[in-house]
Amino acid sequence: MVTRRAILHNCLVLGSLTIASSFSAEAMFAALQEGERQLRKPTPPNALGPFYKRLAPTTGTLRAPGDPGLPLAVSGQVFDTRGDVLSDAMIEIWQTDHFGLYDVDGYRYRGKLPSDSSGQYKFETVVPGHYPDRSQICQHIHYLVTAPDHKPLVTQLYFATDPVFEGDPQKNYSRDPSIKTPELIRPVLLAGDPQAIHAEVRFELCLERL
Amino acid sequence: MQRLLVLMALLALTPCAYLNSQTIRRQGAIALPPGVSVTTHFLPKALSICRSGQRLAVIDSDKTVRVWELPSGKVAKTLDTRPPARALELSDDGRLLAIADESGAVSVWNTSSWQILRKLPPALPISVLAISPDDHLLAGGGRFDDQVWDLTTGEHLATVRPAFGNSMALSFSPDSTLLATADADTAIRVYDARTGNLRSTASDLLLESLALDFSRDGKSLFVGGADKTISIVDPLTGKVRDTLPKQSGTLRRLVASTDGEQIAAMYNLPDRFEEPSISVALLWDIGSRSVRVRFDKPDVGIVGGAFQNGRFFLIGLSGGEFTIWSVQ
Repeated sequence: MVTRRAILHNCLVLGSLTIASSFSAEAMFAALQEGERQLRKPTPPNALGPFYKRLAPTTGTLRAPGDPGLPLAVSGQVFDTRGDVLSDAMIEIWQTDHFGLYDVDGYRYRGKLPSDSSGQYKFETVVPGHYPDRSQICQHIHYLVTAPDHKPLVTQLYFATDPVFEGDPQKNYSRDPSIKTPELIRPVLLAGDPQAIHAEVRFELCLERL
Repeated sequence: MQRLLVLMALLALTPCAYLNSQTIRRQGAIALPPGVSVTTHFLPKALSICRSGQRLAVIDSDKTVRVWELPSGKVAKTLDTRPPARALELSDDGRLLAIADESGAVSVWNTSSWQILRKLPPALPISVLAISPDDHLLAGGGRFDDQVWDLTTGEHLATVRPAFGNSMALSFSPDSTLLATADADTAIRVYDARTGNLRSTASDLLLESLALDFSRDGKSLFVGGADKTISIVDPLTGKVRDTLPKQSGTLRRLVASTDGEQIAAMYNLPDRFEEPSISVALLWDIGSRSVRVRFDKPDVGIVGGAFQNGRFFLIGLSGGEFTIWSVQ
């Protein structure tokens, strides 16, 4: 992969970039890259429990063939607040099944997966159900994200299509008292053909440095 | 022949019916005022029964704090707190009542004079409180950290931070020197109550514990939660010494008896996670690891109980009133 710095270097060699400064080209490239870095806001935290279970298996496939519920692919990228991608993050996720029940005896709909070299992660699951006896608690996926030299992030992903929001999560997010900000509510993309429809959601994660 | 079989069947059933009628008795009821309900959601903890079993305190649906004498059901006090109350806890003897409000401030009331003894300044919202048995310390758990204050001076003594998340339950040891926390990362941590220095960590539990209580000799810590069991933990080493047989529902509340022989454990119905579905209570005999008495009423939301004179008093909520049962 050609790096941003290599492109700048080529531009300088080929004359499409001129540096009018007493500092070296390398120092100028570094300063330019630093300036281009997007300063990111940390992902808002949310409650961890109460059904977190330690020692979840390392897997990005939470859904088994024939599982009831709408298949869902969740993907995203892990950053820190300076905009650097975190290629050494560990993302742990757990959720209810389609019927709103957690598996506390085993590890169904529980897993952990590392981010890749570009900070990307992806897992396959189903859209979680509402708790059977508390329909005002929105469908959600729990996240515990850790990375060396960064504060652990405990948060939850919510879905803009949740009936609780009545189509307007910006306005109605607080109907679920555990949601303090609409930033954790993500739009849902429906894809596939009518016989094999599935949902896709992007959820970027941003960790604070220690 | 048929009559004989029916007679034999009745005879076979009679001892069980007799046993049940001897072990669980309805003692009384406390009617809530018309239009008032009680939120029995797990956290913030809005309901407390003191260990001595003499008082029940509740934050009700209109954010009024109501305190009743037990078992008479006589109203001891109604407090209209501002800002609204969020969590509360009675001391073991019921003589103190700590109320955390929505601003994070905590007021500690003397329940004889109904004067505020101590007002602790606002901090992060508090979901769970504990008062040490000697009435000298107060612990409050909120999002991301737990605090300890000296109630005699008002001094803030310590802040302890679980690895991530919050503490679901707090308990002081009977001698008031240790504070145990059931943390969201599934660990049970025991701290020196005054300094906040970590004394032990029980990290063998896979699922989060939602209730904990020290044995009255302070040598054991009973914990339970989503794993549906009761683990007996050594508070000094963090080692799990024993685990009682697993049940079908999540364990939500635990009370250790004063004689050290029993634990009252209250469970959700299977596959139900939220109150008021706590409808099963078991009285465990610790020595034999067996259930002495089972209370199972699906229409009753069990809110807690207390041991008193060798009996366990169980309080449940149903149809707008608290009902008190004696379990022996």
